[in-house]
Parts: sequence; C-alpha cells; structure tokens
Amino acid sequence: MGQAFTLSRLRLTVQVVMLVFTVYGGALVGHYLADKVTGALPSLSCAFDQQNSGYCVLIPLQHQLHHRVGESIVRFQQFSYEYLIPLGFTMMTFLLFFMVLNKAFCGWICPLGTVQELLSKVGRWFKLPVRRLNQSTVGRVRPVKWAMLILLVLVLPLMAGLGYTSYVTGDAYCQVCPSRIVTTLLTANAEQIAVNTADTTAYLFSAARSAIFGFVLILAFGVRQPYCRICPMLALHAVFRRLVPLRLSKKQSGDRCGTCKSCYLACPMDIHEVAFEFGGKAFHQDCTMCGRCVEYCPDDGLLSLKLGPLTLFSSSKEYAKRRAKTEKPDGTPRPGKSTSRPSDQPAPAE
Amino acid sequence: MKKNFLKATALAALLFALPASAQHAHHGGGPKSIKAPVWTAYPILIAGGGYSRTGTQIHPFNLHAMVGTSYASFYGQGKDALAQATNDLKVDQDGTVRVKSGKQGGYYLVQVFGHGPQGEETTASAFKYFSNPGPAPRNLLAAVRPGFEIVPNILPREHAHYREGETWNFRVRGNGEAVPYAKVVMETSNGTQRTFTGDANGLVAVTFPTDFIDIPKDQWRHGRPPASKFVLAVRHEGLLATFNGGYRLGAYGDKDLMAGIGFAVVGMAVAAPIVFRRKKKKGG
Repeated sequence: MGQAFTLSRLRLTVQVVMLVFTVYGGALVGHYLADKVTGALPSLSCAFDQQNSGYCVLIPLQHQLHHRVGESIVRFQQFSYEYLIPLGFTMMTFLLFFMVLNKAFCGWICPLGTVQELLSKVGRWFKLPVRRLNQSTVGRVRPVKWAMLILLVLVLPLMAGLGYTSYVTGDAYCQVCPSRIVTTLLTANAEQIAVNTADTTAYLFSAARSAIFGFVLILAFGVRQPYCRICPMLALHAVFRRLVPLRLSKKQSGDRCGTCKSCYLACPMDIHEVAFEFGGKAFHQDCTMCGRCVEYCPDDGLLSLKLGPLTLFSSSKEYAKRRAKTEKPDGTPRPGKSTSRPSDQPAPAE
Repeated sequence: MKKNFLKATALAALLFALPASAQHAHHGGGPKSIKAPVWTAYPILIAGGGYSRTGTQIHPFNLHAMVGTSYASFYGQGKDALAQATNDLKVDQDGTVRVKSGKQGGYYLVQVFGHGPQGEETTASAFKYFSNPGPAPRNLLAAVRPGFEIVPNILPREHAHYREGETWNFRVRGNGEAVPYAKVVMETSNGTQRTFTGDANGLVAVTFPTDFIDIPKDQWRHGRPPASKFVLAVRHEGLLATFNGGYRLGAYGDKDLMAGIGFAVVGMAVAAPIVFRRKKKKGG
C-alpha cells in the first residue's frame, strides 16, 4: 500500500459512490420499484426520493405493522401468525444484506451518515472545534435510539393499524426522519421540507421533521454524526450485530491499553468502551464500523476489522503514526507538522 | 326461405339493438357503487367492485365494449414475451370486464375495444396496479401492440401519482408506429378541457391542470383529498383512442413550504450555539 492509501480514504470513496447510488441510482437500476436493489436496505435510503435505487427497511416494517398486522387484527377481530409472514420476509431480506456488511451499512453506505460526515469535514475546514459528548451525555443519549425504534417504528404504526392513533403515525418514523429531507433535497425536490397542513397531527410531525433536519444540519458541523446516535436503524443493527462474521475485534492486552485513548478520540460516536473494554464488549452497539479506531490505534494488531477468522484491516504503530501526521483523531486536518496544535484533547460539549 | 328471412331479420334487429342496450347498461347500469361519469363523453375505464390483490373489475363507460385485453408487465423482449403476458378478456352482459392478475402483481395495462360515442372504432386504455410483486412495466410500455392507442411513456412509481401542475409524456401509436403531431384532448372531472399537440415521434407532453376544487376534509382519506379523474383522447383516420386515470393534488397543495423552512431555521438556531460558541479560555 502506498502513502496515499488510508482506510478513511477508501471509506470516503465508497461513501460518495454509495451516496450517488442510493440517491440517484434509479437512473441506473431502473425507475420503478420492481427494479430496485431492495425494499429492505439496512440504511436510510428514502422512498420519498423518487430517483433512489433501494428503500430503507424501516419503510416496509412500519407499513406491514400498520396495514398487514394492525388492520388485519381489526378486520378479522383476531390475531393470526399469518399476519406476521410479510414482516418475516422483510426481516429475512434485511438480514441477507446485513449479513454481508453488518453495521458497516451505517458507516459506509447510509446516505444520511455520509452527508453528516461531509458536513463535519466542512466544519473542520472552517476550523470549527469538534464538540465531543462526554460520557455522561453519551449515556443519556444512547437509550433514545431504542425509544425511536420501539415507539416510532414498531408501536405507533401498529397503533395506527389498530385504529388507536392517527393515520399519520402509520409511518411515524418516516414522518420525522431527516433523511427524507436530505435525500430529496439532493434531487432538487423541496417538497419534504414543507409542513403538511392536512391536520394537526400531520402538521406537528412534519414540523418536527423540518426542525430535526435544521438541527442536525448545523450540529453536524461541530458534533460528529449527531443523528446517527439516535437513529433507530442503529438500534436495529445492534440487535443482530453478533450474528454477522464481519466485526470489530479487540485483543486482550493487559494494562497498557486504555492510556492513549486514540481509538476513543477517533470514534465519531464517542464510544469510550472501545478504549477500555476488550473482546465483544469493545464492539459496542453504537459502533458504525467506520474503522477509525483501528486506524488510530498505535498497538500492532490490537484492534482489527475481521471477517470470521480473516483479518481485513489491523492496527499498526506505523500506520497510526502516518495517519496522525495528516489528520488528528477527531478529524481535524493537519496542514503540516509546524501548524499542528499542541493537543488532541477535545473541546467539551454539553 | 321465409324461415331464413325471419332469422336474418331477428339477427339484424338484435345487432342493431345491442349497442343501444350496451350503452344503456354502461351509463345507468352496472354496479350501483360505480357512478357513470358526467364530466366526459369520451370512453373511459373505471375500476371498482371486487378489487383484491389478485384481480378487479373494469367498467367501460361511453363505450360499446366488444372485447378486452389485459397485458401484464413482463420480463424479456419480443412477441413471445408479450404473448405470454397477454390475456383476452370477455365482456360481460352488463359491460364489466374482469381482470385477473393472480400471484403476479405490479402494473397491468387494460385495453377495451369497441365503438365510441360516434360509432368510431375505439381503444380505451387504463392501467391497474396490483399490490403483489411483479416486474417493472418498462417492457410492457415499449411493446408493440395491435391497434391505435395512447399510453403513458413512463408511469409513476409505486406510492407516486400524477399530480396537478406536473408534466408527463404520453405516446400515441398505431400498431406500434408513432403517430406524429397528434392532437390530444384532455378532460378532467374538475371541468378542465385542454388540447396538446404531439411531436414527430408521437410523444405528447401533458401538463396536469391545477384545478382541484375545495373538498371538505371529512371526505379526505389518509390526509389528502380523493384523486380527480382525467381522460386523454386522440383521433386519427377515423379511429379513437383514449387513456384515463387519476391525478392528485399538487406537490404543495396541502403543504406549507415557508412554514417548513421556518421550522428548519428554528432547529438551526437551537444547534448554532452548540457549534459556534467560543472555547472558554483557561483562567479567563
């Protein structure tokens, strides 16, 4: 590998290609739904983007809970396991994809993840400080993704199908998802940022969507991957991450690990466990498998991205040294040694 | 001889009477839930009664329907692929045409042939979408079919629709050959009538009118007013071809873009102090 190769550059290339493919790929794979790569993609590729090449799995999950489960229970006045068959097919399709890349669908494929990361790079170019979340804040934010998954993706669509809540909640998560605005804006369609005036519930949900979009758009300049931290897709991935051969691996190394914290500083999700835990605990539920922790770890072979028994990319002192010369762990570029700042310590954020 | 004469007279009377009785059936008969259109005199096909994921009923109006054909979306190219996707449809006594899709869903093109309001040979076309999975309709739209027809060049994706203010291309063809510079008349259930002229390749750019009238919100479903109906009609060498369907409220018809931008700005304003605040100097 030459000097130019870094895992981050490879990932950025894949991310940009996948951003173009997921947002505009309908032109390549076909205009109609039947031509799409899938309707159960494990990343936030939005169906409201009429030029996209595949749909996010959260769409059929909500749709089937609403129409196939909830409405069927009401119509036939009983529950039958048959109502769950479409959900089973959706999850099987999701798993077929997920088994290939695991949580790397977040760190390498998701269009919203890529846009946030690009915004973060813009923030670094404008020398805006990186606002890291401290452990206490991270601890408070982490449960939100589970609440999003359970409430917005599972419970409210089912309630809508059963007739307890408004039809708007039939796709409650899609109603507030900022990817719906980001991906459609990239196709020069401003429709999804508009507030729906059909009724009060629709108004409130669409207003929340626009506000979340604006919040994330600005926050991403300073806080890395702000929306990913509460994304229900991250939670859904977390449920199945142990089933997949591709994973983040960390060897036991006694007391010497946990002192430099380079991996923690490099982690865009502020996962402190990666610095202090070993084995499976280091592969945290919030990990997006971006691989930055592996890149910045100065301990040969301590951290690695593995596919079953195969090591795909492993930490090395030489690589970490080379990597740190061009970019700090928090993503701030180093124009040259003379201009580098004395410390990599993060700015506190609350 | 006398017997034969009587037979011939009876047959002639029957044939003469058929169009009238059929027209009567299509205007006032059929299922009670399907209302005869008052907004157009052009032949149209209206679906209704007995819709399921595997089939539906089509009711021709303003048309003395003789025979019908349904074309499923299909993979592959050529006559054989089209032939496999083709189903001849029988027209019931009350004019109803039953379309079966079975396990294969997706877009189906339904064409009913007969005599139009002025007795001209007519092809009335419409698309039906069935929820089961099926191939994309690209090959179906491009396929060479017999007869004179007007069909969409491209169809809206699933969950998308024709909408007010949008421009969509339609194709006018005779036995698969483009009919250049065709004059296409559009009529809508909201009372608009427009004429469009096709290009040399038989493509007609049709802009859907912004003509939705206020509908009480208690008649809305899933947060939007019901679709309005349209028909496109084109005449060529004594033949008539129509295509009908529905269109919905425009993109911003029930939305407020400025309010949406306003809420986005509020979100930005909340995030800005977190991102742009200065670092506290040590000891300062």
